Amino acid sequence: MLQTSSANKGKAPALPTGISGLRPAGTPKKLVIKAFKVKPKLPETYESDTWDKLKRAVHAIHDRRPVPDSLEELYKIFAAQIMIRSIFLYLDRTYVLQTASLKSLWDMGIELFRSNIMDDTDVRRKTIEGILDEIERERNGDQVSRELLRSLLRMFLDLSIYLSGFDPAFRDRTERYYRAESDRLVGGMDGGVSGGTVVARYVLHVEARLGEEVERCTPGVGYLDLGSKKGLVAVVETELVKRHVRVLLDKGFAPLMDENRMEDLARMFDLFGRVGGRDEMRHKFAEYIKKTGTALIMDSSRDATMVEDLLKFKSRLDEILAKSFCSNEGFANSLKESFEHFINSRKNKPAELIAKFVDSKLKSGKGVSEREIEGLLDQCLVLFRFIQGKDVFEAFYKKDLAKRLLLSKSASVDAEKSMLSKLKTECGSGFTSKLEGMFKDMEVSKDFMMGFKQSTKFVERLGSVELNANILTAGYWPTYPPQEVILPFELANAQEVFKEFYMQKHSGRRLTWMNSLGSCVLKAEYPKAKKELSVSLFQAVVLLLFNDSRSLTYTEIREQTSIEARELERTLQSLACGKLKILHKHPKGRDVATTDTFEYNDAFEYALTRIKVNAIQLKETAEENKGTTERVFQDRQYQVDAAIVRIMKMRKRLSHAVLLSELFEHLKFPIQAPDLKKRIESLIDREYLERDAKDATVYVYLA
Amino acid sequence: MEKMRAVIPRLREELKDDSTFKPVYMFTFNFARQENQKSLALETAIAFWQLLLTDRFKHLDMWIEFLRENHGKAISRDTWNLLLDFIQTSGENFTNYDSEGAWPVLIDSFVEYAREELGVAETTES
Repeated sequence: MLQTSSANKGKAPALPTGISGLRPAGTPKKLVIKAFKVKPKLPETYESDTWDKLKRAVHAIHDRRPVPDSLEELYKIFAAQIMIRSIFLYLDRTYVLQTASLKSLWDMGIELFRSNIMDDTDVRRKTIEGILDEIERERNGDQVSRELLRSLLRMFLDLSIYLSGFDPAFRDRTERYYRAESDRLVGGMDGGVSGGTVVARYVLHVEARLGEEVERCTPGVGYLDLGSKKGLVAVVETELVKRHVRVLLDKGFAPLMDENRMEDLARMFDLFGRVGGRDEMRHKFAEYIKKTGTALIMDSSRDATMVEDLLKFKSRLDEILAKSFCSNEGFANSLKESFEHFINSRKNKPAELIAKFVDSKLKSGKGVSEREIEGLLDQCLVLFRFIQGKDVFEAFYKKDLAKRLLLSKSASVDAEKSMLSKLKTECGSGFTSKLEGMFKDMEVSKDFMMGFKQSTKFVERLGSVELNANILTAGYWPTYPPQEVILPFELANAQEVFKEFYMQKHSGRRLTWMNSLGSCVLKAEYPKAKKELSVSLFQAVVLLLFNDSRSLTYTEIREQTSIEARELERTLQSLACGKLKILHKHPKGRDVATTDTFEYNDAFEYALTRIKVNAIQLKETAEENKGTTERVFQDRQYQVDAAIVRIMKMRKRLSHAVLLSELFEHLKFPIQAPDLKKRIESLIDREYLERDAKDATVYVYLA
Repeated sequence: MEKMRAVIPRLREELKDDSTFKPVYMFTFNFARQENQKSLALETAIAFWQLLLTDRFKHLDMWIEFLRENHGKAISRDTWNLLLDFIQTSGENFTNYDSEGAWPVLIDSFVEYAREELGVAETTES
């Protein structure tokens, strides 16, 4: 029985000729080959036996006997080639080599084998299928003989039919296998478990499969030739990933984002990158941001915490961008665009809320370090950059700044100045020049007041009233509606005295008192204790009336102070209906009616000596806010009109389309075409422009 | 008097010609409005439109209804003038009307209104 030469690995094949043992090295010995004395007899039946065996093996394959066996048989036959070669090595190396027309024994053997056995389509097909079935079993988790597969495939290689015969069939089978698997797994994804978990699990599975397949191609460990690797990996990636990119994103991306599963996202990012699915992922990313962001912004019940929520959202996205998406430039751009898109989807409110947020941070007293404030301001600026209607922000910021300055509510001048310079860097000095003017006014006023206090001639005319005035340059500050009020003598006098003093230094100017911004500290003597009440000017005026009468009706108060009805109601409410009852209201209640009567409360008590009652000045009314927004719109209208006139003046004649495109370029705030049309019509009506007589779509400038 | 009466049919014929009609139409605005007003009171405008446009404007009644419901204010000269252009150029169902064009906003709104009333969709340019 012939044995395979694998048993002789590493050793020189035994030559069954009668060579004597080798002499020890040293003396070159003449090698004499003697023919066998007796021709070694192959078993008589050797030829028929071998042939039988071959036949049986081939039949076995034909009959589809248990594959390992028949494959092994086949291999044995093949391996016999090696044996034959080893036996006839000498012949091979000399005679055959010298005779060009003869192939080497090996080659001849191979060819014979190939042509007689493997070229038989049936045999070849069944062999290949047998191998593929084994591989499939292994993929399904069963143990197979890797040795056998290795040997068989090496045989294919040697026969030069690996790439032409085996590999295509292999890839085809692989493709079908993974297509079925992925369809099954992806199709079964709707279930109770969260989309994110399901997709993440699938991604892990894909990674595992890829690992497996690569291992199959690794020399020593696997059995496939290294040349198969590239094609194989491509097939697996296509079947398991590429075909399902859309579905996987649809099912899993949003949940993974919501749950902040950065590792899983990173895996997805990597995997999809290999099959060109990154672009789709990026779209999904943008879509997610827009959807989540818009929901956040549009929910007006969350206005109070909106800015904080936005900041949190942004920093979460930044983290994911860095950790899961490798700070990819395309993704970073998508982030910016999407953010800009949704933040502007709700007109004006975000700008207003950010301004308010900044205001609250600049007002807060204790507990927040300077560095924290700086950090928050920087973050706010990031959001600010996305907003398209920056003039709305400016209007609110200005209004809040004015209140902070006039009521001395700034926590830190440094923080204020820092914010200002940040805005300047961001938007240019045009944006901040007025704000800077406001600061300057405060400083100038301080110096001016020092001068006033030093001029005894004026000060003594004040009597017992201590006065502090802030002189505001009208153009810098927000506009305040003038509020009428009849001041008691002492206060009116104080104003007059100051005015005289001021006019001495600045005779050309005009001073107007903004009573709604005034505040007073009243010294009150209660039977139990002396108190100092910090109140608004209007509150003071009302309270001072009670120096002369103990009780007054609403109407009387109205007549004597001349304060506008709604303002008066607010003022009385703050004095009589809140926690601190400086006055009593009859009848009791939260709201002030024109039929009410008010009485001085001399039993008023409070723990501290100094009491602040002027909180109402700080609070904004919804009206105030609306008013601010409307003023911004008015302002925009003026800007549009001015722009139209300017453009038309320069160009004389312009078509409708060109005029609109120029306007969109010039105007810095978001505006729609119909709004521009309205302004154009208004200007036609006011005879700044007219339509061309022949072509109504062309406008002509009227000098 | 008789002579004047005799001229009327001829004048009516002349009016049918577009080129004569236009200046007459344009003139009507000035003629109809009050001394010190810039715009034309709505009801006056409507009366004159009924006089001038009954045979020329298929959707005149809808236009009047639209104005009474949604506008209620005086009519500017610009709107008056452009209405004629509008009648002459827009198709029966406003299929070629371009709301991004230079038409006055009031006419834009009318087209939107009319399209809804008629159940006609906007055509999108290919």
